Amino acid sequence: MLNHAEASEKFIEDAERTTWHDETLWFVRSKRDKVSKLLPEWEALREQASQIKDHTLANLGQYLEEFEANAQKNGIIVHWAKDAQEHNEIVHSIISKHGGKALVKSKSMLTEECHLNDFLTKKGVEVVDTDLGERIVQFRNEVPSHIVLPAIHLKKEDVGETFHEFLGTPKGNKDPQFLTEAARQHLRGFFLGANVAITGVNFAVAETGEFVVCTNEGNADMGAHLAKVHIACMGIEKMIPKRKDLGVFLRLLARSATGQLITTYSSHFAKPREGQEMHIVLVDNGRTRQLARDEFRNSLKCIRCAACFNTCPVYRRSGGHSYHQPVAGPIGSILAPNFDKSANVDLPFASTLCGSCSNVCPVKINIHEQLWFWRQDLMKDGLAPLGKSLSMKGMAFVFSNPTIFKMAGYMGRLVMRFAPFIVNNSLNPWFKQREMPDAPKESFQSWYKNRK
Amino acid sequence: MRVALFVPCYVDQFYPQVAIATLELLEKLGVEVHVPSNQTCCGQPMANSGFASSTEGCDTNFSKNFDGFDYIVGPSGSCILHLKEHHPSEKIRKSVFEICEFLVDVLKVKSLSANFPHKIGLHQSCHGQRGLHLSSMTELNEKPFSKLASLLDLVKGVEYVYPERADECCGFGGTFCVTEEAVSVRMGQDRVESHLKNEIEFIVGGDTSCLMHMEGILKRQGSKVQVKHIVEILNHA
Amino acid sequence: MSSRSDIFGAIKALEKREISHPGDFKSYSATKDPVGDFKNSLSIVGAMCIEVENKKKAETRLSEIYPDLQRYTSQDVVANGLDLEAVDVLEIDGMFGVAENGAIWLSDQFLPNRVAPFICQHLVIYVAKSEIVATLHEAYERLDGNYADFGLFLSGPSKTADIEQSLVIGAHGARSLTIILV
Repeated sequence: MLNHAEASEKFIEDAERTTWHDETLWFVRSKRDKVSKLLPEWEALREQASQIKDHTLANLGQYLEEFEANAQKNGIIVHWAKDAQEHNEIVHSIISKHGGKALVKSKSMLTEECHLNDFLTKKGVEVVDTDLGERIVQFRNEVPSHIVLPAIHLKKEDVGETFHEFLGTPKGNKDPQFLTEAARQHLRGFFLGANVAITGVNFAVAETGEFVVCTNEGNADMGAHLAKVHIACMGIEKMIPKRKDLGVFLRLLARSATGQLITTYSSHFAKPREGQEMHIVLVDNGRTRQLARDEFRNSLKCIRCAACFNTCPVYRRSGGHSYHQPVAGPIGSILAPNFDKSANVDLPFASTLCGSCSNVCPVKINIHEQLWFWRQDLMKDGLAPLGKSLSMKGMAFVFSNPTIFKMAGYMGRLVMRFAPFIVNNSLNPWFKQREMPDAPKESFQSWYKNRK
Repeated sequence: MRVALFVPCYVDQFYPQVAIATLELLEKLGVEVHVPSNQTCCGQPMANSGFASSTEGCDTNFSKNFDGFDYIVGPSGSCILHLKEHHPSEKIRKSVFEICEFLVDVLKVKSLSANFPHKIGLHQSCHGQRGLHLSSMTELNEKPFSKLASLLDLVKGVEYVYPERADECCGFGGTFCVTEEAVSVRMGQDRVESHLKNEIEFIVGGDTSCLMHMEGILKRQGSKVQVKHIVEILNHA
Repeated sequence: MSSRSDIFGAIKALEKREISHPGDFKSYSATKDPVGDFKNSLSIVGAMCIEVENKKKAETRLSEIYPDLQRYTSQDVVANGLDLEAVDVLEIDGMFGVAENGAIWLSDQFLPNRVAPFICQHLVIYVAKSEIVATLHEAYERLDGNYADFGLFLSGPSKTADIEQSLVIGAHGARSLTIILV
């Protein structure tokens, strides 16, 4: 597997596509800026959302219990899974009971995190992703590159080819309207025939035992209202205390995500419809571990709007797949080390720490600070390559000793002035596409000494 | 008021003119400036690489050099931010100021004798802007302001313009500039390009590190456009 | 039950932190013209809006908009989702609208079937002008104590921009949405 720097280098090789990717996502960020500035209370809303989430995380046990009791009262069957494996097994056991061979699934980052599709496919169950972007990447045997815009790494030509191959659309047709219509017709059949529908959950309300699912396409509702069994999968951090809190989050979510005023459909599921079975699977999968870490706890406030993706200058120029994780971008980079430190050691370093992510975050997660904290945590665990540890030790030594620092600087400038080939070569990644600064003949300190 | 000049290590070695301009500017404004001679580095390169645990020697040396001063002023938003956030001494954390911040908030400078008859592109470095809040940020719903711009307003002849995406990062990012070379350079190229679209003669900012990165790209492209630290403009007669 | 107790065990093992709920959010600015704002929002979200004096007057307008399509009301529709596949135009009642985002609250009480507003090809919703609230906060005030088994805020027709961010109306749900303001 390529690390982030290597994968990004490959991505950037296609300069034109990189420009397109960057500009397209920047456009989404601009739309977010525009709508957020139309609300005079925008910053107060973010603060409110942040405080509600902080409060919820501090009382998570109590709210989970309240939610469970109310959901059960509503006739929803509640399941608990400590990890991805158990989540997948629970979902599979429900499907087995109903004898379904194909099921429809709307977007759920949790099921991506648990690799549910792979699991079910191996068990002989066909999973049909119904979100258009997810269906596209599913056809291509890829994973989403963005949590809100799963196929944003693809151009319409790519989608046209994929649909030609899988849906028999005319070769060369790349019209988004036409291709969307083809997907609509193709997926209608699955909606009408599926026994089981899986959806994600955007918010679960402890007070009422209901959960809210937001989509623009209507695919979650099409699936859930037609199938005999609805399984909703959620991480335990999706909890909010009260129904009125939804007003705050629904005002922030779509504005932050796409610059829309609200998603087309914000559906509140409280009770199964008559004759329907409704399940909810509450998943830990490392969340209680993150909850115990002071520095990283509030990453659990995330509402998966992806505003941090769209604003991130690194993400826009490296693509979602370079993060080799179901959740990419800045938020993914602070969530991933919680799952596996050594496999994700590169991600907290895939950032300039510019801080834009924290500024757009609707629940005020200090993302860039957590990137910094993860860097410390991972290096303390000895996950740095040997060369890096040595150079850091060397640097620390030089900077602790002013005499050596002056000597080293003097030598360095000397080398650069009289033997530039020592640094101006392919071993120096700075020099590959940039010139080195001119080396002045004396340092400031030596100038200052002579000035007196 | 005891004021010390903090000269970041790479400014000392590669951009002495920035430190000289800072010193001269402060002196012109009547400040008696001390320059501790055994200063080295703020420790940020190690800390941002995940080795904050190795900065003890650096921190101690910094304290040794700067302990007795009311204000520690430096021409680098990034280094100052690091000290403000991570230096173990509270006294140090409270005494460090980025130069523009010091000029606007402490000295409350209302006039300058500077003259710089050129068109410049103003680059807002992230750590100064988002970290030290030297100017408003496009992500937030807040009143627009800029301490850098308010100082440039005092300079005769200068015309400053912002690039499209006024506060997008240039991609320097400390060791990021070599560990993520491809993304870093691409970000830098994009930033330089949007500045050049404005037909400017100089790219000007408050962080020499960002400027060094963009300068490296400009030079490789054979561009005539130069980079300058904002103090070089403010001190320009 | 063991995973459940594991999860609660892990949470309860954490140090108790006292952080209080900030209380209900009060929106800054009340709108002076809720109906005007609502209409503006509808145009942003891609819904058509028709103002009429009474429900009957809407008839003429609708037959102009959908000249060749069979229109159904809630009463016409049987309570079986699958039959709705054949419905071209469905007319339903909305409980109230939200000025800031063009959303309309629909719930079980107003729907012949939960899937109805999604599966029909074109959707028409009647909302009373007197029933427009300013923001979602007022909307949830309004819904306080009204706990529908299923309900939703619907804003605009179904849409997607998953192919190159090009907006396409009519992803899976209704291809068009007409709001009749009475």
